Amino acid sequence: MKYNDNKLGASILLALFIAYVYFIGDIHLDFWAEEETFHARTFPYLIGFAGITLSVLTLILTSDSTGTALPGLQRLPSALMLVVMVSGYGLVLDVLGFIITSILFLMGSFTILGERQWLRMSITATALVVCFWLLMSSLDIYLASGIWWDATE
Amino acid sequence: MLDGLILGFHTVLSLENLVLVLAGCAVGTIIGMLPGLGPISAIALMIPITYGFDPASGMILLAGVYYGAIFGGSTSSILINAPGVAGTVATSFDGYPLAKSGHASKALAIAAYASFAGGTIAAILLVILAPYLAELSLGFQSADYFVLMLLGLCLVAAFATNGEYLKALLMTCFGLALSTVGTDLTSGVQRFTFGQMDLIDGISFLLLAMGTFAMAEALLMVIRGPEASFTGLRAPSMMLERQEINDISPVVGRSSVLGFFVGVLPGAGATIASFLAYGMEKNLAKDGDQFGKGNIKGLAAPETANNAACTGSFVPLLTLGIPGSGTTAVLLGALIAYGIQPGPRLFIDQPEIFWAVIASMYVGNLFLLVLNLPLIPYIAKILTIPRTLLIPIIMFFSLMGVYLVSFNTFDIQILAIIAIFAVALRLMAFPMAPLLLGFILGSILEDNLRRAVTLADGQWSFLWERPITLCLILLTIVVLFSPLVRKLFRR
Repeated sequence: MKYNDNKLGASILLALFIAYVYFIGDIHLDFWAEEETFHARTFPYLIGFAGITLSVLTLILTSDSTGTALPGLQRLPSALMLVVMVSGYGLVLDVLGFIITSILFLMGSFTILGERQWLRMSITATALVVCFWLLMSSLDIYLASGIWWDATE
Repeated sequence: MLDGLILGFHTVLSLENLVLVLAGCAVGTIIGMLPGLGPISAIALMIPITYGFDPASGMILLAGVYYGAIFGGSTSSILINAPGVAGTVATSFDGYPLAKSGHASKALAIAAYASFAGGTIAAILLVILAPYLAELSLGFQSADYFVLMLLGLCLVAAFATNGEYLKALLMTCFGLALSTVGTDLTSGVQRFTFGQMDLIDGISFLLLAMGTFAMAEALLMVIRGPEASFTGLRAPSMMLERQEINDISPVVGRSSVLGFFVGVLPGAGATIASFLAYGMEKNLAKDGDQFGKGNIKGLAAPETANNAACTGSFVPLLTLGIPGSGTTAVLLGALIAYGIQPGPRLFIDQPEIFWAVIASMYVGNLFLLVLNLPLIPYIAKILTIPRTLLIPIIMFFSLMGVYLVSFNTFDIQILAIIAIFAVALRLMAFPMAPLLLGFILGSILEDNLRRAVTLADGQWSFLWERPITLCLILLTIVVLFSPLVRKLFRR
C-alpha cells in the first residue's frame, strides 16, 4: 500500500491544531485577566498559530514522492489486541488488584504474540509480577490490592 | 581550595562513607532502571534512611543515589527504549539502535565510560569554578532563559534527517501544545481539560515518554514482525576499538563542558544539557546523518552531558541555596531537614559538608564504573529473551512506569491512546524526540516568557535590550535557518 506519509501526517496535525485553536476560546478568563498582555490564552494562541503555519508549510513544501509502504498490515490485529489488553489492564486493575491483573495481562499478551509454552509463560509472568510486587513493597510503595482483597481485610 | 578538597576526601574515604557511596550507587542504579522511578523518587525514598547518619554521610549517600539513578535510567533507555527520566531520553536515540543491532554490551559500556568522564570532568570544573559560576548564573534573567529554551527547541534540526526539518518543528509545536493541558499554575485556570478531573494536573512527562517511546516501540516491533526485532548479542565484548575511542574522546570533552555549564543554570538541568549536546554533536559530526541509527558519538554526547549537568546543578544548590532542578530541590529539602542552610555561608560554616559532597562525586563516579562494568554482560542478556516474552514485559514496565507516577488508572487509558497515535505518526516518519522536547520545555518556556513580557510592561523589546539575550536570539535565528542555508550551499 502506497500513500504520502508527509501529507497525511501533516493533515492530521493540521486538523488537531485547528481544533486546539478552537478550544482556546473555552479557556476561562477573569475580567481583569482579559486586560493583561499575557494571560492563560496567550501562549496556546502562539503555539496554535505556529502549529497551523507549520502544518500548512509541511503540506505545501514536502515532496509527493516520499510515500512509504505501510508495513505489516497483516500483523495489525495483534498490535490492536495488545492495545486492548493495555486498556483492559487499566479498567480492571483496581478491581482485581495488581498481582492478578498483571499476571493475566502478561499471560494474555504472551498468547497474542504466539507463545504456546504454558509452563514458561506461567513461570515468567508469576515470577516477574511477584518480584516486582516484593520490590515495591520493600520500598513502601502501594500497589492496588483489589476490592476483593480489601473486603477481606 | 586544596585544603578543602583534602578535607572532603578525608571525610569520604572513611570506611563508613565508602560503604555509603557504594550502597547509594547500587541502590540508585537499581531504582533508576525501573521505569517510573527516577532520581527524584530514588532520593526521596532514601531520605528517611539517612536521618540516622551525620549530615555529611547522608549527603554522600544521596549523591551516590543521584548518579546511580541517572546511570540506571540510561540502562533502560538503551536496552528497551524506555527512558525512565527526561535526562535519558536523548540517550535512547542512538543507544537503543545500537542495542537493537546486537551491540548492547558496547552501548552500555560507552554509557558507563561517558558518564564517568562527564561526571569526573564536571567535578573538576565544579571545584575550580563554583564561586564564579554562582555569581554569573544569578545574572541570567527570564528573557535569557526564554531565549535559551527557544534555542534548545530550534536545535530540533539536529533530530531531523534531510527534508524532515519542517516535520521536526511541527512535532515540537505539538509537544508544546500538549504541555498546556492542565491547570495554568500562574492564573489557576484550567486549559483543555474538558471537565475531566484527571486532566487537571496535565499529562505527565513519563506518560508521554512511555507512550511515544517504549509502548510505541513494542507495538512497532509487533507490526514490523520478527525481522525488525533485536538481532541478539552479536558482539558481547565491551571493549572499544582505538578508532572508537578517538571518535568519542572529543565528544566527551565538549559535552562535559557544555553539560556542566547548562547544569549550573537554575531550571535548565540534565534534560536540556543532553539534548543540546546531542544537537551540537550532530551538527559538528561529518557522519551526522548516521545519528539516530546507532552512532556511538550520538550515545556518548547526551550520556556525558547529563552526568556533567547533574554535577553542575550542585553549584547553585551548594553556593546559593537555589535548587537547579527537581532532584536538587529534593536534596535541598534533605539538607534543610539535617539543619543545614545551603548558601554562600556553607563554604565557611560547614566546609566538611561542602567538600565531602564534591569529593563524593569523584568517588561515586569511580564506584559507578567499577560496579556497573562487570555487570554489563549480564544486564545486556535481557535482550536475548524471546520477543514473544520480551514485548509484553516491555509493555508491563511501561504500564508500571505510568501507574507509579499517579496511581491513576485513567492515565493507562491515555497511554493507550498516545501509543496508537505515536505508532501512526512514527509509521509516517514523524520524529517523536522533538515532541518530547517541546513537551518538557513547554511550561518553563511559558513561565519565562510570561515573566519577561510582564517585566517589560508588555513590550517585546526584552528580546534585544540586553546583550546576552540578543546574542542568544541571533544564535537561535542562525540555528533556525541553518538547514535552509546548508541546502543553498549544497546547491
